[in-house]
Amino acid sequence: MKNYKYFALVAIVAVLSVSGYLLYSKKNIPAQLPIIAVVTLQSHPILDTVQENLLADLKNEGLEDGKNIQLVLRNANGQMQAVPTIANEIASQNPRLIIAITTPMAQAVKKVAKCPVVFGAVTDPEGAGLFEGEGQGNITGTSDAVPYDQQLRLIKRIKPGVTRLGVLFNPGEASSKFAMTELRKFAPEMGIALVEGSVNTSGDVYAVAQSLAGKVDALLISTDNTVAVGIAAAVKVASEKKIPLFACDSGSVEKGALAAVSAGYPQVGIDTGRLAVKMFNGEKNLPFLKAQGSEIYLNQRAAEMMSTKIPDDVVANATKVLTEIKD
Amino acid sequence: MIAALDIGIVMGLILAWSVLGLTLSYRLLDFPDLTIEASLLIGGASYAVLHRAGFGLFVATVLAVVAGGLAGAVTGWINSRFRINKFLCGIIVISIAYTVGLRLMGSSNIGQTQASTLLDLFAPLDQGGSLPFHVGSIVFLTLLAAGIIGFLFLALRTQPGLKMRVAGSNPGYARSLGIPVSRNIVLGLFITNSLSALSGVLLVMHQGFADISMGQGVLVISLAAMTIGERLLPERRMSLPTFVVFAAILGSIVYQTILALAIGAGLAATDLRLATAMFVLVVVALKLTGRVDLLEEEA
Repeated sequence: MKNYKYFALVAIVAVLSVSGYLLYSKKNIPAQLPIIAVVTLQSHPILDTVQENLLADLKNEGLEDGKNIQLVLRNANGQMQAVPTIANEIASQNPRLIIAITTPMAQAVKKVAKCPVVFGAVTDPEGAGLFEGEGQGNITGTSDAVPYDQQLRLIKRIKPGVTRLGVLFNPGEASSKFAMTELRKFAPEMGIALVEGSVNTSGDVYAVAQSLAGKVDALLISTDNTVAVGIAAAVKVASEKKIPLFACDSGSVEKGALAAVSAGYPQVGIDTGRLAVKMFNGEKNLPFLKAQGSEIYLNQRAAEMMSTKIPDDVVANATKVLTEIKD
Repeated sequence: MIAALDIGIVMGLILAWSVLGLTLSYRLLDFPDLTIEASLLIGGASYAVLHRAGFGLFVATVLAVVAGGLAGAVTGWINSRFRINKFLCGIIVISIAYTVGLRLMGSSNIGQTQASTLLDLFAPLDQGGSLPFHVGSIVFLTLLAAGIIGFLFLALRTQPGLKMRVAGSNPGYARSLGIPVSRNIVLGLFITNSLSALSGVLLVMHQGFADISMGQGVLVISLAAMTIGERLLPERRMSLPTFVVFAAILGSIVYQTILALAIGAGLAATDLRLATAMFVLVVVALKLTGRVDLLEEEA
């Protein structure tokens, strides 16, 4: 029995000393280089695109890992409870700058950081309590909110006669709440009156789309999970009534919406990197940037079904033009 | 190293109540209760909403803890009323809690990065951040732990407490004594899930936000912490309640410290879960093969 006890002690001492050594060696060698930490909640294609472009931009602007900065990367791997742990762990290393991707990560970092913070890919920085008004000293970043003004402009370019736009959305969803605020702000400028159709479950989509279709020139679905699940019903109504159905994300265009403007994630990453470099060089009170480089997705098959001709110049500028509808 | 210990103690003491919610229901009530994920979410979400609405820290905390406890009571009620499998009851309530949480918060996330919290009560002890430990938070969490442990030990020794334990461990015997079993299970789950809701409230205070997915994964880390804690303490030397309570707290702190160490060592996200799983496995294996009680003098 005693042997096991010694074995246990040896094992624990070994584990502790190895991890201690790892920590010590990592922390000590590049002690002179200022640390830039990049923390994120999880990996998925969109967030990875943002992070890759952000890191590339840091390098392009002369901040290179191991040369004049030390990059520390952390990823919670989707584990929510690791978020505060990562934020505290990074803060304890006294970095010069923390770049936090995703809303929860940015909130946790803001809570503990004593250095400048740049957030990336946060949909609604003001709503998330990250940013109140202009010039917040030590915190800035980028928003990946769908550019709703450009969305409305695209609708006008494809069908200039639109004056009444029916919007399908679930008022219980955060992104839709944000979308409606934005749409209500921009629609009057473009001579568009919104007709709101609220949907509580995906099963309501057909009925609500039907009731809207008679009163409007075009339909729009915001980035709304409830409506997205029932999109086939909306496509069916739009095809029957021969009015165009627009969306705000590329996935819905694949499923039969006619067109969408989606946030350009590579540009969000580059913008985040640029803000980070400015912050790193001591600038303060920078306003946050909304997603600029937008991507246009079109579906020609849907256009046929909805008897709408997409102008050639729009097609020429599109990021992707689809010719069929996925089931 | 010290930073990891600091983070581990704070996070460990925050999440210990979820672990204890799981172990108390499992060990004393014989009810493997999945609802802790739901009650942690409801607790955290209610606190964020109440605090945003202008309620005081203490009032918001108490109301949120009660709200989370109700999630547990629902699980117990569904189980006894409809005779549904205990796991299924928990899963049903977790699903309900997701919608309720969304409706409560009105969005999927509420930020509270500026608000001062209960964790800041002893903030002057931090001496402006010059110390390697967050002394203020640790002192508050320790006092809170002492209060809860004291309350639990007293409550478990009272007649209602003893009745509850009998109802859990031997329902047939309890019925023969005239103890209403289902009512006691509902009450017991209310208490254990109140504990988990407290973890949710503390987590929101600590991390500065409430999020609709903040409960996801709590079950797994609670099970891991429970396993570690129960292997590290000598079971034969303590009464069952003492063992369960201290194993939960110790296990939670050790697990969170290991997690912080692994993150601090720069383990890739992909390896993190394997590393923590391996650690749990090693602790379990040591005990099973060697019967090593690290804190016991002679095994």
